Amino acid sequence: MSKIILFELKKQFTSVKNMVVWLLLLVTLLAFGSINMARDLQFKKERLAYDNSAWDAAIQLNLLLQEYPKNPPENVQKAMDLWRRDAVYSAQQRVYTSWVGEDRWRDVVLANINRNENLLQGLREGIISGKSKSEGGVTEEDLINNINYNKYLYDNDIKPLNNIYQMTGINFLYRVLSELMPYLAAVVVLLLCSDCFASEVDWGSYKFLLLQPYPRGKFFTAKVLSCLVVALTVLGSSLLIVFVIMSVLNGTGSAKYPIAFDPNAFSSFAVTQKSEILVYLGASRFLLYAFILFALYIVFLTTFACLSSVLSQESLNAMTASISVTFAAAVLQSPISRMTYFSLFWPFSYGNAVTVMAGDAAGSMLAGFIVLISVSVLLVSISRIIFIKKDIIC
Amino acid sequence: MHVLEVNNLSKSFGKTRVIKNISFNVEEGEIVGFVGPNGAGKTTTLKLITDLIRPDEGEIIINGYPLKKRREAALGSLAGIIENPGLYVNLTGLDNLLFIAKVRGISKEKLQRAIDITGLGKNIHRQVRKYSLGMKQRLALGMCLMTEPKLLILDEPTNGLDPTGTMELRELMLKMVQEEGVSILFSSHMLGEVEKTADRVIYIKDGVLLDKTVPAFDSFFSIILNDPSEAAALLKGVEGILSMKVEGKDKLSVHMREGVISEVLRILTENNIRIHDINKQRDDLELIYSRIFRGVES
Repeated sequence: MSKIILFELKKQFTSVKNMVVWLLLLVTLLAFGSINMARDLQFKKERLAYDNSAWDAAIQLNLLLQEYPKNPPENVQKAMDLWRRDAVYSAQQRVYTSWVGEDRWRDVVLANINRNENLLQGLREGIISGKSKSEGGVTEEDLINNINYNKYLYDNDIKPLNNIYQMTGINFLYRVLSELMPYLAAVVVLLLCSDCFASEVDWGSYKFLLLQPYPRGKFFTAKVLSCLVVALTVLGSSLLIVFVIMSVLNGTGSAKYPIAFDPNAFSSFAVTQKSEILVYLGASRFLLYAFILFALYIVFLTTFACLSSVLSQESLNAMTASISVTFAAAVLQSPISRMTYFSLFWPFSYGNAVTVMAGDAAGSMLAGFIVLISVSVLLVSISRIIFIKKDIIC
Repeated sequence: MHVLEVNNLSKSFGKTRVIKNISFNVEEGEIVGFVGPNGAGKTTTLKLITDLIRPDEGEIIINGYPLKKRREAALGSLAGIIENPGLYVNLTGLDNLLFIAKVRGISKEKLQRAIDITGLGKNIHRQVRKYSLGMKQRLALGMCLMTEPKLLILDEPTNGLDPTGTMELRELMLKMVQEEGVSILFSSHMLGEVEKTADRVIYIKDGVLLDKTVPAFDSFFSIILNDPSEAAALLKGVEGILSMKVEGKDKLSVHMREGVISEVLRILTENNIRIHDINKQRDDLELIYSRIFRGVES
């Protein structure tokens, strides 16, 4: 069996088509990193100009609040004190952010915590009327989440990212996983694996392979396993290469960097209501969990590609069919996500592991594991039966 | 011993019945030609024997192993090239050979011998996509021979080969039978090749075998004797004689089944007919083919 798997791997890794797919994936990931790095630079310039004007405004507001009005009523005095403190903390944030000569990020984080705690107190005392999120207002949960996030940074001595575009190695992985991979991985896996059986028909090599005195089931298993290894290797190695490049250029980033997740995503099968109070997890652990779900999604895509390949008589048909289905699934994902129960059992719902962990999908991580494993086993079983019983017409 | 037994085999694709209850055997060390027009069911039959497609009915026994129940043992006795050499074109010739060697546990000596048989030399390290059809055919044959099969199935093996390649293939087939004791079942459109190589021919038309009704090789004898008319009268009604023709004063042409000549000679000598000369001519395969498949009388 191991000899057949090794042979299959050799075939796949020497395939020109697979090499091209691998290169294209690498180029796409590098382009993603580069574009974000360019945006990071642009953002820094814009931020500097904005900070200068905001700083001026904060100082002016501070002065105004200290001078006017005299002897106000108690509730007005409380509001004035609150907004004065807010202006101070805001000014501190601006000042420390633009501090020249020393990186005062800890002071920025502390000012951020103080500012949010001040606003939270105002909200609880009724000085600030808390509007709903839809009205653009600040909510108690938002403030608590922000405080927790900054406290996590402060307590763990983690410098926050300048912006989401800062391509540290870890932020690159997080962004790619949440924005690019749900679609890109599907295309890559289907291009790599959809022809694993059908190409044998194209080449006529079934007539050579299946004449060997081995059960067809073993050949099937070897092919599926090798497809899986190839898909994971191509995706994993490409991510690793660009991760290393980004780490060299921009630093790796803290492995403990806080990423919010919904505790419901772990404790229940279906996420009926997203928890408003977020829990923060270190980036390394978050990415570990997310990559496990992502790997299962790859397993599902591979088995789906194999079924398509077993059913087709030509590689091109197999690839076209599986990519069409996946494209349709991506287009329909939005309406499907509104059909809660269907979405729960729809494997393509778990393509974005970050969304699932953040509690923004219908299903939880647990549901993702169960659905993806079950569907993969089902697809493999169907493909195997068809492969063993089918007439080889080539 | 039968190396291959095919019993009452039938196969349909959809509603079309392409193989209709066919039965035949291949003996040890025998080369059997499989002849029929396009669409007669040759390749389908060979695919059934190699288990690429499954029969609706019937049984195939290879080297004593029923293909359905003991598939791996049956296929272990068989090697074949169906339609074209189905090789992995992005791998080298050696990679293709090595795969078979590893999967079947073949020794390095046998592997080297197979490489020698292919005659590919340094080309064995090149990607198969760069091979000519003849080179691919030789590589595929090397792969088949490396497994030391009891039965070799070849579907249109000379397709695309130049005359040199065809001759080399024929020599190789004969060598395999003589030296290795391999039995060969091969289909071909090149009737001349079949005639030169095969010990026996099986005819198939519209999914039905005709070898039971039409003998493989009848014989034509031209007998030079003193009284052809009397000889013809004596031989009339002898079983196995298909037709006779008196030609001139001393020649009698007799078309008969294989093995009937001894009876003919016995009758003529017992009746004091003096025989001066006998010439045997094998029935031309193209004539037989025409007679069976195109309805032309010889």
